Amino acid sequence: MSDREVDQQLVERVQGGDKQAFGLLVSKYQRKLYRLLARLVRDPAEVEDLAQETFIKAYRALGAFRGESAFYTWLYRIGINTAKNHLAAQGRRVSALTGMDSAEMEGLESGERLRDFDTPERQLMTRQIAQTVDEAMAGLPDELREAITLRELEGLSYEDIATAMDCPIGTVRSRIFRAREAIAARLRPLLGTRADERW
Amino acid sequence: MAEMREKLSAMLDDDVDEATARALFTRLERDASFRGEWDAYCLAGDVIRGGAQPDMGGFTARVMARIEDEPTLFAPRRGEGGTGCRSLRHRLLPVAASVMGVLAVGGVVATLSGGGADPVVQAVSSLPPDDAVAVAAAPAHRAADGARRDYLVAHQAMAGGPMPAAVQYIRTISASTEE
Repeated sequence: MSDREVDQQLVERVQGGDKQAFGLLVSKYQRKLYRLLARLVRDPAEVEDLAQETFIKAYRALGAFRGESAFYTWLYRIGINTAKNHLAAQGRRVSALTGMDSAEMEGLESGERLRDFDTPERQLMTRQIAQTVDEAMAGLPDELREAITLRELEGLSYEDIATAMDCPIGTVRSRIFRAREAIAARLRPLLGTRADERW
Repeated sequence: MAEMREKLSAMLDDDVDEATARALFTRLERDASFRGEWDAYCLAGDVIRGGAQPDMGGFTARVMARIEDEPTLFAPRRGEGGTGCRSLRHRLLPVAASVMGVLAVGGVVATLSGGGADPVVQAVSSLPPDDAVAVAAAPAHRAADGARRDYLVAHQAMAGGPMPAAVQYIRTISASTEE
């Protein structure tokens, strides 16, 4: 199943009454959406409010979503409109960036350094997460690091990675899983440790 | 558990079939610690691909708390019953309704016409001779009510209700002609 098909399956589960499936979509796209909104609105607290509002609006409208576009493309439009309305209501200028599509916006984003996020505590946590992943990657055996890099950074399929690394697809699957497990083990203490952060 | 986590990892890389994905979704729906794995894998992927990520600690939990107050969605599934079946049903329903309508009206007409014989005549002919005489005398009895009818016709205009003047005129002429 492709990424889009997985998202569509999650959407259909939500449409069938499974609310937790919506949490999986939130978990998957929250940072991407936050980064998008942070380009349009300066105040980090407003960005988080808008991100929440976008997801709530998406949930309410999800009954009518039929998968004609990818879920994130649809979510992106809701996010842009939510930000536009928020800025217009405050009589603030709506950025020319809102006319761009999601691919153009991501192109801009990938070439620029992220702006500082929020309070010193949040900035510290942001750095800590990045540092933890970097260290976990550095500590991986070469074959695991190569496999996860080819997948996450280069976007290669398991089949292509198997060819590149000259090993069976099952080995690729296992190596990528072990790499993720090693990184997740280091991230876990930073994630959802408080009761109010679990869902 | 490790096997399920490996499949979860593979699902993020488009490498599971639909049945496996369904099993994983069911597990994710029920198991909060399994959802924690999903969170960690998604975050790791975002950091590897995009570098520093905003700290979203507890964001999903906050959104889900708000979703709890929202009504549960129950949207019709896409393609439910198959497009072919649905369009066939949609085509046949009006035809079936028309046929039923024609049959119902035809049935009523057939019942009223009753094979051409007047039901009153049939009823009278089936009565014993004495009763038949009584029924035959009925028109004479109705004629005896003529004075009452004259009174009612004359006072139609005094009656309330939305009866147009033309209708009153027609009824008056009709009553007079019968006499």
